[in-house]
Amino acid sequence: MSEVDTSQHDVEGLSTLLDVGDVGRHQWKPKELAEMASHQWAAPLYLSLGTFSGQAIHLLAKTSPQLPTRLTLGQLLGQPHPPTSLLRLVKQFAKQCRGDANHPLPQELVMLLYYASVVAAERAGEPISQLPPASLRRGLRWLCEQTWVEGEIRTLLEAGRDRLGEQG
Amino acid sequence: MSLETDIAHDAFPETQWSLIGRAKERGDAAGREALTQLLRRYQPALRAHLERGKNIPTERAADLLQGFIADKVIEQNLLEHALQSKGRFRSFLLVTLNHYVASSFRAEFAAKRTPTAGLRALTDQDAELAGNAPDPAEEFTYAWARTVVAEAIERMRAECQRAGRMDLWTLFDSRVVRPAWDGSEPSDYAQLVAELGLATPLQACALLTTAKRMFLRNLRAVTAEYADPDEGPDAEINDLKELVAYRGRRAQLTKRPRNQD
Repeated sequence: MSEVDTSQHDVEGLSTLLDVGDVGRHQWKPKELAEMASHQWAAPLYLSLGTFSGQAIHLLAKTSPQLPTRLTLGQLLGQPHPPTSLLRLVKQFAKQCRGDANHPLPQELVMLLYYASVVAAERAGEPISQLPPASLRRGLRWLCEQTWVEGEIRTLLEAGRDRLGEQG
Repeated sequence: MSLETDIAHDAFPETQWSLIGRAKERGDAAGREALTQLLRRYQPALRAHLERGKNIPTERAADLLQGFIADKVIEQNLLEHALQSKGRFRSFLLVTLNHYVASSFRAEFAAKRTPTAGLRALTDQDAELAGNAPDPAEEFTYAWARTVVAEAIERMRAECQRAGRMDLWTLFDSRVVRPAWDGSEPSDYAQLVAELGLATPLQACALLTTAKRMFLRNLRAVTAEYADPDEGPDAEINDLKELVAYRGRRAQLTKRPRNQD
């Protein structure tokens, strides 16, 4: 058996604290990513899209029949024909998060939001992405391989991956 | 501390050199308090240097340190010589302590009656060899790094308390400080969301970012108080980081399996 080196822990702990460094990037375990995804799914759009949250309220008010103000991301994506304007808003939010070095959302969650909105739009027959099918398949394949992608989120993405696969 | 003192401390943090300047005037109460504060801050690191860097037994190290403070710092007014132009104060303190320890050892051996073919006098070189760490100053700097980080953590906690932002402290303490300091598991995301009433992942992550920025600001403030003004706090933090990283690499290389004697 190897020696237990308590001083090594002290060194690593001190290194961590001296190297807070990239303050916007945080370490999350897979279980926590699953919890964050569920949290994002269950949060009202008017709260959960950062600087786009105000625009969500405006777009929700224009829907016909009008959708509830407290509509969540999960409820939006669960509809057979979700308003394209709102799906584009979710995609825009994800792109903004990806491009902002200071943005604190984990990149895995950002990717999930992007592809979920794209898949929901494609399922409704109103695509919102310019990405080539091969890129979409790659992204969806990666997400479906992640153990933290669970429940109805996984169902949505797997169905999208399978549809894209059928299209060749 | 009163609110006014808190505000004054935050707005005009005491630089190490102004602290030293006040400590020089040891005739008055403020000067004595400044000197006490200064010594309290450096004592753990100096003690670590003697005990672990130079392998001096704990009791002997305590005696030497007390002697250094009484004879050199107070009696001989060492701080008069601690001029800013001579570089980092901690380096100055360390060199002076090393000279004091070597002198003490020399004086001890000189006072003993030795046989004709007996022990030779302990030279400066022998005093250095009494510590077998590759770099005796490493123990001092490592202990100093811990002191600096501990001070930054405490200041952040106090700032959060004053500002009514214990949500920031709770998050930072449970996700960063306790896992680093005592190896405990970080509080998980769902637990923190429930405890702090966080509405979205974005709010949770943004709060953690804010907390880290606050800690970094306090870390810079602590190091700015004693860093060489020409180099600034970031250079000092990088210096401490490199030393700690080097120690980590060395510890990995010298780790021996338990069953090898």
